[in-house]
Amino acid sequence: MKKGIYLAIAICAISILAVGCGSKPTSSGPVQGSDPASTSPETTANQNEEGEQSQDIQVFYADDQLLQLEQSTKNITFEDDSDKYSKTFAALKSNDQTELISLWNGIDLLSSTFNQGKLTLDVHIPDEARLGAGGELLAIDALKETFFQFEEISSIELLVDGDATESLMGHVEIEHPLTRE
Amino acid sequence: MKKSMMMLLFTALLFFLIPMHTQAAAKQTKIFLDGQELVLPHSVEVVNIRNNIMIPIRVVAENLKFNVNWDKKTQNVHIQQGSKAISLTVGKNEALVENDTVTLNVAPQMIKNTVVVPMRFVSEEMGLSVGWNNKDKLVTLSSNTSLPSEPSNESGIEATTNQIHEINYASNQLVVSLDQEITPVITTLQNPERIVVDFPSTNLGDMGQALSGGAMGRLDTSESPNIADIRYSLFKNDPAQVRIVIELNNVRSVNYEQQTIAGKFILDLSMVNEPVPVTPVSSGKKIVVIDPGHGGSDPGTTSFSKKPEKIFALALGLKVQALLQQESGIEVIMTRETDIYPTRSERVKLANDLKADVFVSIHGNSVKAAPQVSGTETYYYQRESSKELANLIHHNLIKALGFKDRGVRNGNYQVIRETTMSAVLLEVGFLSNKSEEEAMMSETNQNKAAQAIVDGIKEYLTL
Repeated sequence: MKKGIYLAIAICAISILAVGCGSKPTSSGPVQGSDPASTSPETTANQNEEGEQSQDIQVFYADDQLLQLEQSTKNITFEDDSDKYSKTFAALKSNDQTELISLWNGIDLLSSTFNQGKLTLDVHIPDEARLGAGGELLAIDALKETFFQFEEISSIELLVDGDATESLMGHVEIEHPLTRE
Repeated sequence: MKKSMMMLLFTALLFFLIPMHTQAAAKQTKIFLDGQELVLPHSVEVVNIRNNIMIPIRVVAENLKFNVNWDKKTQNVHIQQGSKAISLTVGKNEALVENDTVTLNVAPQMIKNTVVVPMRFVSEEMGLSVGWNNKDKLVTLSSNTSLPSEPSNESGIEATTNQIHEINYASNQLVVSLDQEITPVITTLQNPERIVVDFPSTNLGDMGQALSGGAMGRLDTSESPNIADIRYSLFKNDPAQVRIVIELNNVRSVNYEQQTIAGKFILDLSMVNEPVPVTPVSSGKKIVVIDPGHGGSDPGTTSFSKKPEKIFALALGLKVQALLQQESGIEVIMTRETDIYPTRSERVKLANDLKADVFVSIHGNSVKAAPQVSGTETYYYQRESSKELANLIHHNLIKALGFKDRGVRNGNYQVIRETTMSAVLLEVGFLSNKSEEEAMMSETNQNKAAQAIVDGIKEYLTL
């Protein structure tokens, strides 16, 4: 059932993009059919003159008491797929909303690579950015919720300084890779 | 489930080896004993801690052939060679050399379930002289007299290398087929109980082709309950030396007889079985395991005034320990008493092996992005008994410290999930909150918190 709706939305998204292309015949953008944004159900990608796209995404944070996850809509602008994931991470770590707490604030993304459904994120966690037991669980959930909204991502390999560590912050074990449950 | 498998694997790595080809990594530390390179088991890592070469005790026992006793409970390593004996303790900078206390540059440490000791200290105390070539990462050890049974080429003739064609074990008999008669050197080692059979000037013949470098083969011993493992390898390269290690299982003592018949070396074993291992429970006391979070290489978070969480967790943990030691009905065991890092699996295993009644993990909370967040929270995982313990400790902590009550919550954390007794994880307060951190770092409040934790434990145990 849900699949049907997704499909309908996806078809809509593709046709909108197709119309966009038609109205701008001089644009020599990438092949739209392979654009992952077009397969993303809740969002519509727009492309501006510089070949940059912008997209509304859902980003997950903690509430202001660090008790549960809250989602917030953010607009990201990116050039290509790989840029999309780093911009998503940047949104995840930005702490500019007073009523929400970024769980990834202060954590640096060293690299992100996407290959055949697996997104590898290599991060560096300064000691002061480490959370307590509750925060660590929320942080992992926030990362999963945020990145798994992109349908093309089926798993996330989360590395700390290049290593597949057993834990991010010392309370919770992490699976390698993280998968959709 | 997956984690317990990992734990098993780690434990196994302590004693066994995964057959694998060694890599000629350029930066790997190599150890030469009297000019011969020691072929270190593949899983074994030599680590450099502040310019001190640390070697696993397994290397001390198997490669240097000293007698090593490891007492897990007291974290003590006892190394003996003839009349020389030294005693070291994990996490302690002081060692005993024949009843004299000496200070070490670096304390022995537990790294990935393996105890490592400072190589220079151990070697020199055991009468070896030690050299270090930093450029090539070479350690050279030279013995004067006391080392047992190094194969020598003193005969002046380049010894022709023997070949081993077959190794078998059945009916308490190890049979080694050789192309020439040779008398091996046999040593016994403890913890675990092993018989080490070294064949000097001997190579692995046809059967060695699949093995290279420090790789290891093993026999199928599934039908011999007294044998944990029999492994063989080309132990040294130049000259060749084959080592066979028979690791025993639940054996109290072992005698062996050796003979050589028609080119076959035969080792007959007679073993006395250990009675069923005794459970460590003693005297009807309740066993409480206190787990100061993080430690060693894992600092935890950093507090508002830039102090690592591990320091707070240990300070509070030791205060709880001191109070519990005064309770006649309670035996308290610590997962760590110093700045070391036991893995979470090791902490769980300790509590489960002890069949503890209560497990309390102590932490400090943090969220630097929101320094206004504060309060005490207490976690349990699913079990009703853990929830009851959590409620009692939490209530006492809130009363004692007066921090905001963030509640008792269910949380999926390994140390409270995989432990089998009533187990809780305390996030006493937020180290990222300025005033809470100040309170948590004060002796007075730490004493109050320790008393609150002890009161909660005693209420739970109805003592």
